[in-house]
Amino acid sequence: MSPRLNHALILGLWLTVVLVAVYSITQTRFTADMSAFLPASPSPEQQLLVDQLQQGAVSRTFLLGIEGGTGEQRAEASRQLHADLVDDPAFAAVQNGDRAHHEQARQFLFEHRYLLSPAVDADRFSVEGLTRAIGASIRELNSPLGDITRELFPRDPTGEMLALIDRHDSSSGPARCCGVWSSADQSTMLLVAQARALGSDTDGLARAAQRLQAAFDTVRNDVDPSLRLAIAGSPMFAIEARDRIKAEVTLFTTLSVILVTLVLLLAYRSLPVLLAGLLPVGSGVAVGIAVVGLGFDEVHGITIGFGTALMGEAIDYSIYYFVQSRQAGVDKTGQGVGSPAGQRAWLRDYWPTVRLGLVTSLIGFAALLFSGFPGLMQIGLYAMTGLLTAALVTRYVLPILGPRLPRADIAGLGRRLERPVAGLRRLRPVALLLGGLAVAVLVFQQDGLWRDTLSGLAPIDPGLEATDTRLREELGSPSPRHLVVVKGDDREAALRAAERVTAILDQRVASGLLAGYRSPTETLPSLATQRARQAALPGGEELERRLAQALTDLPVSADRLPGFVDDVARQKNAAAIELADLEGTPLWLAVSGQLPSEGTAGQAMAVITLHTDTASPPELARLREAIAPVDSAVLIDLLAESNRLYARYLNTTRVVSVAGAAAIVLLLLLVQASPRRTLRTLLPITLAVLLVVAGHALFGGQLTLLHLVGLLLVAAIGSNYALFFQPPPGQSSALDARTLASLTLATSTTVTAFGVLAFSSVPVLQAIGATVAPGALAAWLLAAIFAAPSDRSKPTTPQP
Amino acid sequence: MTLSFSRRVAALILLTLPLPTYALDIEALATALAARGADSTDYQQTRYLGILDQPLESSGRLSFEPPDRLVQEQREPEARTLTLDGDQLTFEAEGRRRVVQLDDSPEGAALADSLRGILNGRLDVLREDYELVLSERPDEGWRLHLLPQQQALAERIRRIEVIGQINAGLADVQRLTLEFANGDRSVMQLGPHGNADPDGGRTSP
Repeated sequence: MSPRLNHALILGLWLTVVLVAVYSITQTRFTADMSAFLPASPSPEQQLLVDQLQQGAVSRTFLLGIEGGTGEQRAEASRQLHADLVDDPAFAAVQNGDRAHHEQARQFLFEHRYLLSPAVDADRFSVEGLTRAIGASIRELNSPLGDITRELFPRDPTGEMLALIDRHDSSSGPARCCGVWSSADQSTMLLVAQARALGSDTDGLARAAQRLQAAFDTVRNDVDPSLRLAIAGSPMFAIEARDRIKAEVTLFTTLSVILVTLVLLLAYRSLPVLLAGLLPVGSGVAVGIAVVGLGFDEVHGITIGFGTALMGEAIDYSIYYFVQSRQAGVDKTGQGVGSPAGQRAWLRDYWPTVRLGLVTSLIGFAALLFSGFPGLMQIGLYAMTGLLTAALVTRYVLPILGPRLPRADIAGLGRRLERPVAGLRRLRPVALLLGGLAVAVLVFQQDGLWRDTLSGLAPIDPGLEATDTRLREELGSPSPRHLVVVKGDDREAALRAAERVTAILDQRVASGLLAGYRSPTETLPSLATQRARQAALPGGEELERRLAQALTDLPVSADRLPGFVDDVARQKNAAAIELADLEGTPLWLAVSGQLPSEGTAGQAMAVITLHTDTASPPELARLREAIAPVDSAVLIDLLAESNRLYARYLNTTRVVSVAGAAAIVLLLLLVQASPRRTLRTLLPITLAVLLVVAGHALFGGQLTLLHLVGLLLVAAIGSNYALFFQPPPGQSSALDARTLASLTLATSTTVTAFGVLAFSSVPVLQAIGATVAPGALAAWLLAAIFAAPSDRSKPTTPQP
Repeated sequence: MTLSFSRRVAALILLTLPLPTYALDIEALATALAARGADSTDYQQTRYLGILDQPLESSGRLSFEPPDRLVQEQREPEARTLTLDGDQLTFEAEGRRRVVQLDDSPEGAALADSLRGILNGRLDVLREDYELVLSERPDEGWRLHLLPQQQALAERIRRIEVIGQINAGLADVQRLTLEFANGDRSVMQLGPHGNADPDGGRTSP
């Protein structure tokens, strides 16, 4: 095969792959769901947690506040907004505390009170039970509330309704003004809107938020222009974080690209070379995205911004090629710029080093594949595919294009650097001392080094957080921290399990060990319980007979209670309540939120939220023990669980990283065939990592999973530097001017690109930037400090 | 919705006609009521409910603190405390607290507001819910009828009657009667005023 044909084949293959990749990208779904950075967790508790975060009621509920204008205008706006949104398919439920809806809920409770009241059993409807219950109700008629309970008494003499209202209003709920929910000072009218979109569907939630704003704008134009809308709630955090990450990824990636381009332009002084130099990275990005798209069905926005930064190493490849191939060409053959001989020399002398650097990087990024976070796995796969593609393009495509391109010689820079860099070797004792200090710092600060909580992983806007806290407090709905989750084969089984748990919880509430709880079974008891209650109700004639007996000593006679007898008879034979019956009432919102859609096929869940403001760990342990008899019941401390889960994944990632490091060491030992050389290669990388970690420990606070990812990258990039500063035996071992120049250029692009990220307000980007930029600089310096002396003419073959 | 046009006209005539024989008008009563300030008094309440064979008797102490805090502390037959503070109704019984927002319970709100509106002299607030009809009784006595204006309220409350007396420029309330639409009645008899706190609020002009 002629070289020309060969070249044509290679170029054709390359173009085809890139085109296919680009086509595949156009077919790829992009997502911005931050929960991709939650672990794809294996344990049931963690699955429940992730489910809650992704689709729990809280994750879909917007909190709205209407401010400005007069009280009447705010109330009117609240009513109009409610009317506008209530039939909108984008929302499952909208509430503004309107009395009519309140009344609707009460109506439902009243009509089903004998199915819902936990007091209903055979004893309650025995003669003695009726005497007791009706006697108590008469005493309530004579209390200051008697003028209100008076109306209920004829139909509900046993007082079931009061018990139900008590339970449903146990949390005091928001204040009111002008017939709708308001803040305590009445300056803000409050609404709650639950979107139909899942918590993981950030785009859907964003559309819902836009719909809220648009609906409000219409209302405002209608009512008063001075009205304002405040929107908060979990979905807003997700939307805000997504938007911020999107904006910053775009901004900082653009900045990085511009700066790196400027640096390269300055070095090459040739636009065609610059463009050719971007081919490996460009191809890597395209193929990387396409492969992630195929592997994960969807590509996370962060993967691209973040992974492209990780591929900063790929830019180095073309730098090495362009600078070093000229070097090789000139030195070996004395021929002109980019001659075929120069290409061959580069392939012979330098490519193996680049290849070794590539393999070590691939091993480093492979660690991300095992992190268990889908988001990080995507980044790992993306970086690996991208790097490999970029390396292959550098190896096979650039040599074809290279000879046709002019290029600037930056050997001058290299030569000017040669002496100072050689002088760096004098700093070895200093470097070792610093390394020792870093170890000391790390040993000293070992305990607080890693942050093992999730907080701080996503960016949070303080303004939004303040609004959220304010509206949440006014609504009296703090996010619950402790949940009991039960499961069953179907909803009925889950509800029955929930009832067994609430029976246990009731005892603890009665003995003052628990402040209270909310269970979906309060409004939707299991069919079994509803049937049992119906069975406990006597038939009409039997009830009349018992009433006559029960009322002999009470100032009321049975013939004045026909409403009661009728209601009992009707509810005894009524169809049981089902979830669908609640739709359209405010009760549905609460109940459906506590009966999350089935997590795994064929399993139904019920969530009981506990009022545990002051629960201590030992109390929770006792509670956990108390509910143990119910097989499927799991007590979840949302905060502790998410932190524990994150800590576990941090740990996994650390273990995998160490394994990756060990694999790199083995690889180097094998390829370099000299423990001493390997030691020399590893020393600068290790020191660089140590210094960066110690620096963060001293000045930057705790390290997160993202810093760990940054360290992986430092190791990957640093290994390239160290390998070039330690050329393999058999080559002209001295670090020549152009290699030095290429390494310096590569370092400056890396430091520039990542240094910019360090100024991002998005923790994900900031952590990477603040780790990689100093790390790359340190790796370059240390590689130079520990480089083999250039005056040693022959590389030694060390004795084993 | 106006319940009864004629009744309203009657009230209007009553209020606007120059009636020199009446020394007291609504505004003067409001002033005399408001002038009382903080107050505390024993009460005796009797409820006549159609569904029960016998009336229910209870008693306790009623305290009012301007501008809008009213505490009904029932002592007999069972200890119960009802506190109306702003728009919030708190009911305490047997160590349990129930909190009700007035907005949740229109009837409760109208009832609570009636008593409070009288004790603090905010007759203008009462006019939002009721039509006020004032008449004089001998010995500087007065009688105020509150007639519900809204249909929904009128379906529950027929009339509220307040009877009192002017004492040295201050209006005492002696009896409050709630008459419900179904014929039930609740009569609250207020004892001598201010015996717990003889100076409370009365020193102010």
